[in-house]
Amino acid sequence: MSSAAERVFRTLLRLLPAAYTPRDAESMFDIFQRRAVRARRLGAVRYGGFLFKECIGLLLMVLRERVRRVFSFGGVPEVIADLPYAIRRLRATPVFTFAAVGTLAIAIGANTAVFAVLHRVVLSPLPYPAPDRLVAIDHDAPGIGRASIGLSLGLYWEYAALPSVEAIALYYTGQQTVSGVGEAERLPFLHTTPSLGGILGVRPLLGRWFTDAEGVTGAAPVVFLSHDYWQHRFGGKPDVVGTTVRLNGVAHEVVGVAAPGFAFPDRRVRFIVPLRLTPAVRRVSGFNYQGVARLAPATTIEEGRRRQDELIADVPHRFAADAEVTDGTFAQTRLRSTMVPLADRVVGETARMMWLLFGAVAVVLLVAVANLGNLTLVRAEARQVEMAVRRALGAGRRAIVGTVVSEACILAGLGGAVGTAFAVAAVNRFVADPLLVWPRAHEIAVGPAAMLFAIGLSTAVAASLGLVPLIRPADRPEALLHGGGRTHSAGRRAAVSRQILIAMQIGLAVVLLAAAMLLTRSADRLQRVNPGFDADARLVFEVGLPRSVYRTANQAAQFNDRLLNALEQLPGVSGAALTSNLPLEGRGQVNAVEVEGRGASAGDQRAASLWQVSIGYFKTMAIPVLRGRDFEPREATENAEVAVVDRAFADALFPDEDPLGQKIRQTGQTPWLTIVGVVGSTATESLREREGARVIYMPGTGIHQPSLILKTHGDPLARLSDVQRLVAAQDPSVAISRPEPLVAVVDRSIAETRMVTAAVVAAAAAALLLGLIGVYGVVAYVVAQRTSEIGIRLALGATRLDVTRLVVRQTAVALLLGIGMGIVVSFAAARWLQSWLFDVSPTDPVNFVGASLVMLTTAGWACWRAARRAAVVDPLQAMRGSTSP
Amino acid sequence: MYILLALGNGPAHGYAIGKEIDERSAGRLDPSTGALYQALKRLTDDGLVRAVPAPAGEAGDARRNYFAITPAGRRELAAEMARMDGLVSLARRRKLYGGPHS
Repeated sequence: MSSAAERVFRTLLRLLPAAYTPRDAESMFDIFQRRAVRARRLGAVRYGGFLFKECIGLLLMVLRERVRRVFSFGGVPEVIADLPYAIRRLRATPVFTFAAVGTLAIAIGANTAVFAVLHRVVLSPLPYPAPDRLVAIDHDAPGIGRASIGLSLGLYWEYAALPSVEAIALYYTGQQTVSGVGEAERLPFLHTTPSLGGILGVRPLLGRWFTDAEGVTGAAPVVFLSHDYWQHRFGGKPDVVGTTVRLNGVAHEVVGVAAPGFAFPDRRVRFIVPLRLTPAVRRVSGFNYQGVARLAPATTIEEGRRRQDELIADVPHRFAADAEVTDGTFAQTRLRSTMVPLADRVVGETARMMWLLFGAVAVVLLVAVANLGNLTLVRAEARQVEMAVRRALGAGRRAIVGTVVSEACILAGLGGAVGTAFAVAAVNRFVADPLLVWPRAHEIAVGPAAMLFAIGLSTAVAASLGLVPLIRPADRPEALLHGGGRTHSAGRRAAVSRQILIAMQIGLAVVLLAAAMLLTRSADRLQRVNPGFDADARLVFEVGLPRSVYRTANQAAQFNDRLLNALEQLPGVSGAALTSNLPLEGRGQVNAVEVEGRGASAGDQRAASLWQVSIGYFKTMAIPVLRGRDFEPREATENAEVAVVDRAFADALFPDEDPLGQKIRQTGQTPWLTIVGVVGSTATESLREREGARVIYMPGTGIHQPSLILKTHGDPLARLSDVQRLVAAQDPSVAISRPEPLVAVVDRSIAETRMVTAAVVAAAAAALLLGLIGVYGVVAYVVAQRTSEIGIRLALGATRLDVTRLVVRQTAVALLLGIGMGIVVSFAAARWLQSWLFDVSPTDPVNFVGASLVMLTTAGWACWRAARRAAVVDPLQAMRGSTSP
Repeated sequence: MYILLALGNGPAHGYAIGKEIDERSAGRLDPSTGALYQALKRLTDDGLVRAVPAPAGEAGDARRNYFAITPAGRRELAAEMARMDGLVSLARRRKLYGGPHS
């Protein structure tokens, strides 16, 4: 009677490759047994050690032997020699070849495209010198509920003197009207201190960057053009340096042009103007800027943050004369440094999205490989007799392996080549879209890294497909030839491999299906969110009034009022309004608010935004007036001290009292405003926000860069040319910018979510399709294999239903196992999708049940359809012939 | 090398070879069954060793594979010994090695 150890050793011996005969195995077992007897005499511990060493030693030896045999198939010469034969075989089965190459092309192409973007945007360091020391300077202010408040001038000067900071720059982006070069246009621009050039290592293509002197108040106005803008507007002419451009009516001299790869903070910026500062003027507040810095060598971010926090703690001393310090407002904000690596700020949330997409396409590739693996297995089995004959005639194992590998190489090579071409086309199309707002978009391309990735992926696929038929021990040639097809045990093992591959495909497809369902439900909910206004049939655009012409707010108001009147007269227009801030485009400046009678230190001072709007804004935007009233026309012209607040503000500051009649103001600044009405809240930053953003509306049109809204009949863009004509007629030096339907603004706010959802749904559909093909293919094969058996059963009285059920049962187990595994993995991975979800729980059972049902019904249907072929077997035919599949 | 040496005295089965290696190396070399047999197989593939029937007089177990050194194996062993001998002589001449008891 054999001991447990002997049984284990015997089991391990079964893993030996075919080159080891049964006699060899017996010999080894004999050696083991005799050694075991000797080892037992040395005591339990030594005996245990002996057993462990023997088992591990045998396992390692099996591994070495198998690997050696696989990779000693003679290498390249054998594979190349077999290529013509492999090509012929593939041409003889065009459907399989086409399907295989197509599947791999799509899977490898998708992976390569996503990797190309991932590599350039997320994995590559920023294209500036010493990118690991570049940081984005930011602060949060939990005392007034602000998570990202930017940088102020006062703190900029203080940080510049810190030893932890090698260089620091201040900047903000906005729009300016460009004239003097063709027709007037409003374009995005960057306003920055000259120090940015050193931090980012700017190397102009033409001319020069700004000097430090040009960053001081009173310096002559100069401008630096982006490469794209220079090409587009100036035709790329080399003598542009020294010419003049009018920005907001003021003449600026062009001093330089950027090199093609430079785009900070993103490629929308058309030109750069130096911030002209007065170093002596330092106020701690006025957080209207962004900051970027290079840390001193060997300074970590944690240390940088710490130094900044220390400085912030010292503000009462350094800015002792500041009003906001003396009256306690600054202390209330509880300001903290939130310095992060610049790369994180530039890439932002896109990194997570890229990784999610990469995961999704990787899963599709796995499903594709499993699918093809199964098909390859089936093909290899179909050729077992041929292989046996070859081996009996003296072909070494090397030659046999070579034929399988060369087929796999051709399929993977073709799939990879076509896939890479897809990837290049897709990526180029993606970045060519002028409306694309994507971090580091100008750097995205399918470069050497992505090509290497595609080659590596194709090689891995070739290796996987080539190795698949080798996972079962090969049969002795004689047994195969006698058995006319396969031996029983090998057949069983092959069936198990097939079922495992099926289960794997099904499981992976279920994971993607569940994710797709989750994201689709979430996107649907998000789209249904009421933004608080009516976006249909409304056109929005911005205008910019040059301050050189419209010096005062009154002058701006006069222009704007004339414009609004004229716009309302346009045919097809039923309302026109103006606002300082458009919903879903940001909250604008946010400041702490005081309520009269409560005192500055009463409770938590909530921050709110202050927006200026024309009369009729709420009506044009269909924002409901909930309490009180809308503004009256005279209140705009008289600069009346009234305000309308949104519901979020009213609920936050007056939860138990009537807000009407209360007096509020932004701390320390404007006169007290009397609340005359409460309107519905609108989404200010995204549709996901739960609380409204707390907005105080003031009447007035004295805004130099307002957004205008036109309520139209029919397509809003149809009115665009009329609008442009009208604005030009009022004043040719005023340009409009960013005209678009208001629905586009709403869509843009959920564009990213939609994109992620679409990509995952596509991946899920691909995986499902592949899974179904896999199931169908395998079941059809099983039917073909067992035709004679089926014939016998039918002849003996089994019904067609019985034999169909018999066939289905085999695959049903794999199906159920796959679905089960898929559910478990989905459950575990669901939390990772959290940040894209809206109003849906990642572990909501509906998704898992839904995905399982979809998979069960579709795969079950595929299985049944294929199994039905068993039902049409003619029993006499089946029993008469020995079949080859 | 140890395997070839062990077979110098005549054909032996795997267990005996393993035991001899263990004794000759004073316990320093103690390959597992798998490693030992893999080495035997390699030597067989390379033609330095071959499988033989059990010698007369050793009834033994029919399961056991016996191995014997081939003429090629002997030549290989001799060449390797000559190489080592040359190295030992060189070390002696350079007074780096005086023998096992130095």
